[in-house]
Amino acid sequence: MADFDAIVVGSGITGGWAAKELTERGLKVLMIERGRPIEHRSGYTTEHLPPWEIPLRNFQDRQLNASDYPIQSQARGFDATNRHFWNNDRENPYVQAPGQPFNWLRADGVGGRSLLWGRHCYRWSDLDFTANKRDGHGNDWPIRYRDIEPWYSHVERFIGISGQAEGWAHLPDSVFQPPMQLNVVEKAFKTRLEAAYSKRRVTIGRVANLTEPLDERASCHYCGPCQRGCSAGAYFSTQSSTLPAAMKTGRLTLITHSVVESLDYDPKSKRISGVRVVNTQDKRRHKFTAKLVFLCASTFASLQVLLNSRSESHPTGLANSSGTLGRYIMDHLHGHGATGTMPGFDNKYYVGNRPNTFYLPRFRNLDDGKTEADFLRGYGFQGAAAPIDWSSNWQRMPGFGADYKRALRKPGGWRIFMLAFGECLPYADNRVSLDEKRDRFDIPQLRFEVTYRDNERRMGEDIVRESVAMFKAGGATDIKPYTSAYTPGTSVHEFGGARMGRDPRESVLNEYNQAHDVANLFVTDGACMASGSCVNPSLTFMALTARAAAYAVAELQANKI
Amino acid sequence: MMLAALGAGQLLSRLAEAADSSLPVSSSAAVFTEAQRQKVAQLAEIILPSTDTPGAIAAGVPAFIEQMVREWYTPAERRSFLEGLDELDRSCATRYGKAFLECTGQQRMVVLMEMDEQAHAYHSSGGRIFDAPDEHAPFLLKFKQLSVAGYYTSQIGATQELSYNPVPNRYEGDVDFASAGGRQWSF
Repeated sequence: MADFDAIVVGSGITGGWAAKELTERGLKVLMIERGRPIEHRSGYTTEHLPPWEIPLRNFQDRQLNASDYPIQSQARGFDATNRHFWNNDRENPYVQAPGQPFNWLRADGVGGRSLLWGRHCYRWSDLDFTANKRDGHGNDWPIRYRDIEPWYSHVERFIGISGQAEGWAHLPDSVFQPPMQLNVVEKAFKTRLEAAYSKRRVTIGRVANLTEPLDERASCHYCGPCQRGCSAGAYFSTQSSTLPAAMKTGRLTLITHSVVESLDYDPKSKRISGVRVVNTQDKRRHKFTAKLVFLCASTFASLQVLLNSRSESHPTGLANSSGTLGRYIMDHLHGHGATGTMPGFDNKYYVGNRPNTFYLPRFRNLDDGKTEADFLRGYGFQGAAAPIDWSSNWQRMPGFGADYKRALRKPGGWRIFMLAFGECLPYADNRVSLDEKRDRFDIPQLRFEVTYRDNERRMGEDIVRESVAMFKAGGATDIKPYTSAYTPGTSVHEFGGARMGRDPRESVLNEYNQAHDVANLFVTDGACMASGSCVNPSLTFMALTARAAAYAVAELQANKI
Repeated sequence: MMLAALGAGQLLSRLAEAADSSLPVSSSAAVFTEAQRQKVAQLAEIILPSTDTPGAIAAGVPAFIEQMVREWYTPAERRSFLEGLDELDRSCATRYGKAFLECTGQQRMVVLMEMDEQAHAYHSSGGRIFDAPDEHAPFLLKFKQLSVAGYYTSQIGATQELSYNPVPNRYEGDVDFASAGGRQWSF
């Protein structure tokens, strides 16, 4: 008799969804979280701190960052007010192959990165689902847009996404709440850009921040620092949304401080027979049993569990008869774009700190015979215009004294910037595996070997060229490109390692995220992805999770699992 | 330009008033001598003086600078900062045969204006207020960074000199700066 109907590993974006869907469909669920409890509201200890109460006024604790957060401190938005949500690199290290740096950016606590994410949500189109088939890199997705479309709607109605319906084929509209505004400078950029490039467009970002109340969640207050946590529940996180829904069913048990070490496989039943857990506080080991296991620990953590679940039946890792487990790792090419000054708006300003950017969708390689570039796949931009405030202007302005102080009262003109997210190809040699080094629980550390190649390099060059050209067309001056070399992982958009596919000889999961080899194992976080698209992935992860949960419950009830 | 030349008595009373700024009292050893502390306070007040809103001393900037030099600077950066304070005296001595604290307000201005020209001409690798100090940057630029950061994140700076609106409840992307109050948002 199993302890639970289902075990969900991880409480982040996908874990929370698995817990909600499975409990709402009648299952008794155990959700296992590696990190500490973080309660909605009371856990957001820095949320309302005014600047003068932040330690060192939010100057970075450089010593602590260097000793404990050398990787995590490179994450966009990492600072002293949200550091406590991020993974401690000294306590929980990983291995990077020599010459192949990889930034594994992750959280540690209930909610995972759902407390820290940028909240952008974009649907895939069939341009994305057919990409592997069309250019031959990676394997063909076993699903198409029509398979996931109802699940996108299902997720969007629950989480709330604000955005502007545009009717674009390659960036399908979501179910939207009212859009946030572009500011006056962004509107001018949009007008000028669209006049100069008839096929290119700018829209307001599609973000999981509410512009209208939804259930018990309030709409956004425009305070600014979402990553400290939001007691109003205005952005989607496990804490604000999926966890309360799951708890309401009375069928969820959540345990924290518990890292899943491996899964036991029973060769007779060909099922997972146990989930082995190590308590991170007392190092004691426990085992839980369930009929179903949903691995939602985040891409690399889930892969680590599968790789570490070696047995006689699965000598190279659980569910790895194809040999593809750990391979075809991708993230998004990031860090390329441009910035410039937008003259002529000196008397213009704004009210409120908008937790959003503009979005400039992919215009390369649209499979229309007109948009081919010297590389495959494509990229899209997030960007924003903002006044140059005192924190930058202090150095641009000479002088000191009363005149200097008076001048610092006013912003110094407007700047605009944009950065692209680019689709990286799936390469078999981009992989994670288990290292010989062990962590503090005697679990083998994860080893990364990821390098980007020609296609990514050419894409990066195109991004820079086009950013500069588009800003010129938009009326910007003093344009500076962002061109620094990209360390894989830094985008925090992670994919691959346990890819979906029709053929069990070349994939780990089937079209329902179910392991080909292990009928009661589902993997629905980024590990399942056969390709990465160029759009922010969390919405797709959530939709795949909800779809897989519905399928898993139906199969369970039909005694097929 | 208004010259604020503070006598020792005025200076000490202003420091006392500002002492209940929300900076925690650190138990570690003081990093400034009394003379250095006075120089820091005077210099900060010259950079961001009392105008129609309080200046750097009232806003607790000297204590913030001392905390940053003590807790945030590396030993090398601390040494460089203290050398910079000494250099300030040397520049005054070269021109006027007196240390900075003994110079008149007018004399200090002449020395500082020269230093500021250098500071402004320097193209620092950073520029954003929370960046780590550029070790090759002129002393006055580094001092300005700490003064500006300490002032505009202080309660006085953020709420009186700038506009403070932590829960705006709306986003409007096209307003006239004057109608928004004529002061930029503190964050």
